[in-house]
Amino acid sequence: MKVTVDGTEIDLPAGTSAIDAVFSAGGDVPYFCAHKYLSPVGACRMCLVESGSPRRNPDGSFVMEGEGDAATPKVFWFPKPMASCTMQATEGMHIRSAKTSQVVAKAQAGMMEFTLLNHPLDCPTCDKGGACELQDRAFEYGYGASRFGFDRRHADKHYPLSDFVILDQERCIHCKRCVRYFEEVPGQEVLDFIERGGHTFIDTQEGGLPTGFSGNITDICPVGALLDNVARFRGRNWEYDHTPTTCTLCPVGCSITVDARNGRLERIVARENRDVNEAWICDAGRFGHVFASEERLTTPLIRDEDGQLVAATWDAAIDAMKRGFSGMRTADVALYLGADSTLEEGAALEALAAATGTRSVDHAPRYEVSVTAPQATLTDVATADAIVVIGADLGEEAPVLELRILEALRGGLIPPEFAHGTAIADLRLVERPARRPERLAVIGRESRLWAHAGHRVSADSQGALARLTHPDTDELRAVVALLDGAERPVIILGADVLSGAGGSFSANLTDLASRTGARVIAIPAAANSRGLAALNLVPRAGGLPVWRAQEAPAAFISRLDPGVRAAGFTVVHDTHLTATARLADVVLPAVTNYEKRGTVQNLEGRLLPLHPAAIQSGESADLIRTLSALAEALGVKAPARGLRGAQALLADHLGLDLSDLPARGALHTFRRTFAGPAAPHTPTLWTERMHARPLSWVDRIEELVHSDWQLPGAPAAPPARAGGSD
Amino acid sequence: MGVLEIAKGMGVTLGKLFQKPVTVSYPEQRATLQPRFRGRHVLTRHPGQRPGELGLEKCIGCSLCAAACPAYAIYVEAAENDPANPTAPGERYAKVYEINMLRCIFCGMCEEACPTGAVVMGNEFEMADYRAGDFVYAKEDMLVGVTGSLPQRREAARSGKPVRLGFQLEGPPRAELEGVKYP
Repeated sequence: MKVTVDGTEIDLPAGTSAIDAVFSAGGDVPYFCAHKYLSPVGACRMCLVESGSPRRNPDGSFVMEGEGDAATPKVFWFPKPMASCTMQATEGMHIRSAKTSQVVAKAQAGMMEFTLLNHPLDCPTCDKGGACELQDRAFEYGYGASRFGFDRRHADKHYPLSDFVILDQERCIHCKRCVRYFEEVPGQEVLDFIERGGHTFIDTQEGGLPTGFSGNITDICPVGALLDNVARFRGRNWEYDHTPTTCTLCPVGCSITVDARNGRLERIVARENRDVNEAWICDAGRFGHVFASEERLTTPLIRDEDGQLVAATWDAAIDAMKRGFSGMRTADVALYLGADSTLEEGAALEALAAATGTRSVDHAPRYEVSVTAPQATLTDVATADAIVVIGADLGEEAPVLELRILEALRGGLIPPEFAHGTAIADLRLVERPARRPERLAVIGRESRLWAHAGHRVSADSQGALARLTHPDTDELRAVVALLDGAERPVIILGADVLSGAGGSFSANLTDLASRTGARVIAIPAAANSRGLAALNLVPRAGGLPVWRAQEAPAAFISRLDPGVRAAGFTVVHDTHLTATARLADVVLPAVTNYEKRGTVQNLEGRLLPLHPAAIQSGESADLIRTLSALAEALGVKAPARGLRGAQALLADHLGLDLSDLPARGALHTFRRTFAGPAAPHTPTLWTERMHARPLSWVDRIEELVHSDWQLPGAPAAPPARAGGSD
Repeated sequence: MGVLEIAKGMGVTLGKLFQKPVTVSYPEQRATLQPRFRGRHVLTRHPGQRPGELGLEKCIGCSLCAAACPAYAIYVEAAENDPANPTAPGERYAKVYEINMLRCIFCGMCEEACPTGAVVMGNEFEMADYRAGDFVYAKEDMLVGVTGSLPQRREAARSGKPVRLGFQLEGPPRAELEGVKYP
């Protein structure tokens, strides 16, 4: 399909919207209401372009203009500018953007003036300032000055919709992105326009937003109407250090941008990754970052003469470990790590375990079973025509997977990708889309996904696979019929079926998958459980797993909180003073996954990179460096002293080259996985340390009183105040 | 060169002897500054509701001064106003406002960037001190009503005498310095 934009002819696939045609030609159109993953509605009227198409005669030939060989199809222009986000580009269409059309430039500037009529322009106090689409577009396409001399609309300001999202109704420009987001993406009808015309405002009917995916509206709001309440007034957008990295709170591995200021993690926003999370992240990933900057361990702690943990240097901690481990065989020291550690850290620990000869090595949480059925990707889930979820509470295990399932239910339409990125307006997406709940079957306990499922089977998840092989009820027969009748079926297995599964599980699953042609996603227990399973990090014969750590003669426990200590000397490596750390003999400070460089593997087998954000964490060290300190204390040679060394270990053992992993990640299947008996595991997304504890007014005033801060120059104060310190 | 030329030159010298000297023997005498002299910053306040009452701070903690500062001398941390007892009008105020006077080049860009006219270049310039840390001026060192620099106020507190500024203005301070009175 040939389209001419501003005089340049370009070739585009059929169905492209006019706005994407302009962007494909290297042009620019301002827009507020269109969004890559939402239906185009043409609400803001900013994306105006002049357009025209050739017409055909009754015989099918084009209406021509000119004489003889110079004749060209005549372009019939629309009489007025058209909204390009809701208009499909057609064969031979001509489009003129503001670059070549004075009419369009004037229409856009006029539209901008309308949008700004009731906008309060409190940019200096607005958290969106500096990253605001309205600010940028007003600068690029507006008149530059306001002719509006009257009182602006007044409405509710700083009105919290929930603990996480704060609404400013004055700033709203009625683009309807948030309303469409809730209706189309998580399928919750909670926000809507109320009143009409200039009085229109956004609100919820009952008040409050459902938690789960509400934070995404703060990302997509083109102005500062919906803002992140956790990051409220913590910094201006240009002051943050932006670090693109991967969220490791659950095995989905969403792409995020971590915004830090002055060494504190202040805000997390979603980053687009078409293969994983599109443009959405869950509320836990967005708002549950408080732990990264609160109550962190910043120095090693060792026991003093009274048995109290006191701050010490790393050298003193290594000396304390040498004393503690003296007289012990290196093989007596059990090594345990959390399953959200990176692959590099896992490789370093595996190598150290080989060097010390210990049999007690483990990572947790993990499941005992390993799945050999064909692996489904998240894109497979979103484009599946039948999905069976067994024993999973996705809200706790992998929230964004739930969004990808809902995407499949509304047709599995993934916007195409152009050179300028994902299509800005995919005309196949429609408002209030028809949903196909009959494509989703949920087996197990009741969860949030039940509301969207056509088949709900309340059954014991453990036996569900076996019963699906020989369905004994009509409900199960319907589920099997759904899988059999589908072309691209996907089975999703959650904790209820994977934890403690045994016996015929693998056989049943392989049988079911091969019989129905289904691909499988088994949600791993933790962010990198899947990747760490490729390393020999399970107890060797006679070794002790994590849940029997108290029987070990000595132990090193990294970022795990079993709540017990080893029988002998115990070293804990953690970010916070956990219950386990309080029992330890030496506590070493760890970095969070926001501060690490490394690689994790998500639930679909995609290797995703981690990048370190600028967060103040004192003398904290990642596991690789901590293990070299431990190796020094044990008197063995550290197998890896840094990230490069650990990556070399991975390259040697697994043939994995992690040096230039693309930002979108890369799918990888490890040939061999290690599994062993595992403790039962119930995933929970939110932990206590992830909740923000906002400082109340009372606390804030008390803080000022305690800091002896006085209002300077107060009439009662003496004329010359003492200042500074002598 | 003749005697005449020498006499002419000495004549100029002799003439100057009887003129009023332009030298000001600072610090014993006060130097006269122009009103637009760019000295230590003042954080101004809105007028109070009643005479004698302190008005709200003009600073809303927007950090635009810090963004405009070419020397990266300004640090602002904002917080939310207590609606019952606000520090500044609106939602936001500067919880921390610091200027590192060692870094500051007194260019006045912060004053230009300020959307509320809160930070204004004053006329005080005597800030010599002993420790680098003492050059970081916080809100309580710059809010209107505070006279003198940190070392001057320290000296005043030690000696029990009021702060003595080493300069004077011909007339009042300029209008932007709302509420500022130099003794």
